[in-house]
Amino acid sequence: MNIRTVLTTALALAFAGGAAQAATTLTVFMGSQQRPEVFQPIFDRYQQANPGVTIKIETGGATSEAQNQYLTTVLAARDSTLDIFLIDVVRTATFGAAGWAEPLNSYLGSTDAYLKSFLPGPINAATYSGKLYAMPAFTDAQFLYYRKDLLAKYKLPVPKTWEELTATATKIQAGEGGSMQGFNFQGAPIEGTVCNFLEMLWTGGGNVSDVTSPAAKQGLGFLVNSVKSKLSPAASAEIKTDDSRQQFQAGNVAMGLNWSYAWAHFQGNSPQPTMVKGNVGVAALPAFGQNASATCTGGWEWAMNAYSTHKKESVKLLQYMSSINVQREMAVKGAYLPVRKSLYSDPAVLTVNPHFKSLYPVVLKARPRPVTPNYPRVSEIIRNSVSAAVAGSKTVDAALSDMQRDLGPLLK
Amino acid sequence: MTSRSVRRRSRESSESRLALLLMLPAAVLLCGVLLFPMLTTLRDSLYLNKLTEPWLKGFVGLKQYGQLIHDPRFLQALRNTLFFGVLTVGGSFLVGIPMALAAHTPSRVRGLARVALLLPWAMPPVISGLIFAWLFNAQYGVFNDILYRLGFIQEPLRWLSTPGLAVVAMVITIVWKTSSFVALIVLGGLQGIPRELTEAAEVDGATRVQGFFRVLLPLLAPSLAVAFIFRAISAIQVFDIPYTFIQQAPAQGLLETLGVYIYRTSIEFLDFGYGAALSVALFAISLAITAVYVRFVRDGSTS
Amino acid sequence: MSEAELPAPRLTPAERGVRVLAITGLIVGGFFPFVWMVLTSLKSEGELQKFPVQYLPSTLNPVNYGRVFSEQPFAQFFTNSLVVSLLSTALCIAFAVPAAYALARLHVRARGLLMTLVVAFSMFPVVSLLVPLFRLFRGANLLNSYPALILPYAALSLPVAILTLVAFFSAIPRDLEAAAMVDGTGRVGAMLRVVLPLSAPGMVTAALLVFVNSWNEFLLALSFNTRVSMRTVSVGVTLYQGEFAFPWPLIAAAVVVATVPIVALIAIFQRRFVAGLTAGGVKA
Repeated sequence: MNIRTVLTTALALAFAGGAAQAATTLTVFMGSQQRPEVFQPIFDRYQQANPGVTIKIETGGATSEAQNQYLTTVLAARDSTLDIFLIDVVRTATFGAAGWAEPLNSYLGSTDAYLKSFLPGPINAATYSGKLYAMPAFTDAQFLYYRKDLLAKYKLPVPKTWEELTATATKIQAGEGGSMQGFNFQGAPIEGTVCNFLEMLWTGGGNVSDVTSPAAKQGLGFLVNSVKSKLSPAASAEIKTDDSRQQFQAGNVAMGLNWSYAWAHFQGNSPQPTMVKGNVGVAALPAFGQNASATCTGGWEWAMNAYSTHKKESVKLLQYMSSINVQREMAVKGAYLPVRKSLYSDPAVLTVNPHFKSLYPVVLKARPRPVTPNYPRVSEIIRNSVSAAVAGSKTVDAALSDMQRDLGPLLK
Repeated sequence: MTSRSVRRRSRESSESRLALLLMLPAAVLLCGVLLFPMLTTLRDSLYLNKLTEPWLKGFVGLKQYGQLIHDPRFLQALRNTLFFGVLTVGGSFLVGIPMALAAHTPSRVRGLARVALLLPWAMPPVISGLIFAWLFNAQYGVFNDILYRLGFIQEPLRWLSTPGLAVVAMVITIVWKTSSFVALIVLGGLQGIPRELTEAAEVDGATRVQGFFRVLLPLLAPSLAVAFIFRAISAIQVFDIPYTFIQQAPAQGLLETLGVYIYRTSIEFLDFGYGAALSVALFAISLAITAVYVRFVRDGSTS
Repeated sequence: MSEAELPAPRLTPAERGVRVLAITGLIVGGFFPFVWMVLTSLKSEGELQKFPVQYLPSTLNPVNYGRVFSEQPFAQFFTNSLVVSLLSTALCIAFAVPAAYALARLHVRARGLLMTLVVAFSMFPVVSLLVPLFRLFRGANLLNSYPALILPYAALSLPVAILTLVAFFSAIPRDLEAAAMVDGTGRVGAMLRVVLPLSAPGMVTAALLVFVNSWNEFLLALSFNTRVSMRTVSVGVTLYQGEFAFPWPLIAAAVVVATVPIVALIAIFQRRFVAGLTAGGVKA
């Protein structure tokens, strides 16, 4: 296998390099929410295998914003202290255009062959204007979580289309009554909402370059109608990712959209008691009519500081972090979704995370959000318009035409 | 230290020298730490420096200031900032002065009252906005719960996703957070006023309310002026609470203040040139307000 | 002037009502969000999402307070904040007092202009100062050190401290000072023996303003001191969230831990300090 040769060479080189030169200290930056305790043993092992290299972890704030603020301060000052940093997949193009992330192609040799064993979503998300600006660290996607027990009770299959989902949600809601939500999604002005909208757009055959298309109207219309018909809560425009998770976990949701982290919570690994343990299923998102299912690529990636003074050593570390062994360990110990295809059928991974098998077809088809240096603006436009439409303070048509007006110049 | 002052009186001259000496450490600290970054920002505002379009570079003079006038988002943020400024500065005085009086009044719970006066201010500001956003939550927020239990509402109000209500929620949050500042300065002022003065007013037969307006308020004027100017400056710069709120409530751009717009432009959109121009514009607005204030204070104190 | 010797006020029932209302309002309004945090810190996550709201926790479980310290070195954050805030307050007040005295009491040309200049230093948004200051401190090798925060905090609060003190110094009758100077005390002696003791409430007020500003500052603290051993509380309380999860009970516990000692400290300091100075001060 190609990958093995590359890795062996990398390791051999690492040994040789380590012996030849004096100690190199690589500074790695990640957010404190990224559980440094999972990463620390991995780095420790790398240090043992590469005697010339010392790795120092620096942790930033716990939110994507706080980390971004720190990295922006440091990199705008052209600081070389950090060698590699973990960034949200949506930041690739911004960091690339700003000249902060070093393109990796020239360091990797035969890029195409090497990258073939990776999932296409995270690789596409890390690629900007033909260059690879980061190595995927772990991936994520939005999934349809559903209550197996409720579908069984009403003898309904897992919905394949949004139309079916509406019918199924209506039936369950009518039967269960009370505070049962038929369908739950994120409508607050956050990234999850951007993804929910893009998924609605993509699964209707639409594209972000034209958000006044019939597919866009159908997609945003679906979310808005879901609130109007009370399948989704009246306050959906205020629901954030973790609100969705908590409400599902409390047993109040029949079907809902969420990222992979929710699974562990539903199974009881959570500060909140779970009412749904063993009764949760995960599936690909439904689509409109005959269209294909689609979902958003999430997750994080390792980028190399363009101002780093240890680029060769840093690239080796990046490749190590996306190697099969490290990816397996992260999946087993931290339930991180691997970026390599083969691990979704890996016995060690599946023993601990049997649900990864059913996640595989979904993450395989995951698509990145628009890869543009202006993504922060793009995201803001989409999330604010969508949230306003879901809140009912803008009509679907007004929200979409505002969005088109503002997105147009940015996505040219 | 000019020749004129030397000629006039030697006492004045030695006083001036002493004054300069006394002001020197503060001047060194201010200039040493803040002057260089401020001048850097001023220079940056004259250059294009937008990292998302890195090919746009170079000296453009005042062009980015010209851009401000045609930037609808800047104008909206300016309007929002002034609107919130008037409401929250006014609000923090209306709430803060009675707070100080209540905390100054001798009573069995005065210790507790003083802690209450400090608490809103001492709570971490990054979290305060989140706490209030939660209290205003539509589904399980405390404010809806109270209104519901009291029978004022049948259906929960969607505070954050209804633009008008989001504005109200943010004003309440900022007033809650900033009244402590006013109250603290006023409380300090009250403690500096000899009790005899207020008692004299009472002996003269003035009612308490008259006494407050005729005796206390004029004596508090210097403290109030200081509280006002710094409240005004911080209201113009207000950032953390609006930044928290816009992540919960788009409110059609009504909650975006200049401070938030500057942060987004520089830190999130990576347009450091335009961000610098926005900062200088905000600085100029603050300066204009201060100039008015200084005139007011000078007229008040020398007459 | 001492607060302890105030005569019992004579109040009409209406006045008494207003007074009770004001004090109650102050205590309820000031304490409410804090009490809400205390209650939240004792709840489990499941108890948060209920409507009608469940106010009291069903069990009194202090487990989150243990987690505050076990998941992050919060005691270290606290020490760092204390050192940074105390030293920046001391530095700021030490520099503000002489400057304010000069502005309030001495013959200074272009006094209005100078005051405006002082205030102007507080008018730049900190966000814009972030990158240039970072460069400055990196050049001076100050990153990840206490001075990296003490210096900007002291400087940023200097304007408010100076103006607060000017207001207090100006309020002290000039005759008192003149009397002291006639007695043979010099200008500086008069400042130290007459003006400063009489403006004790002003100094306490200014010190509190600086202290709390420093304690609460977030932007600079996040960017300049990234080593865990140098982190402050204002950044520390934000480190308990996950990428998506916002564990309110745990974060509420952190907020309580971060707030209680500081409020206690301020309350004790304020009472002792003011009482001490006014009791021993110059009798008017």
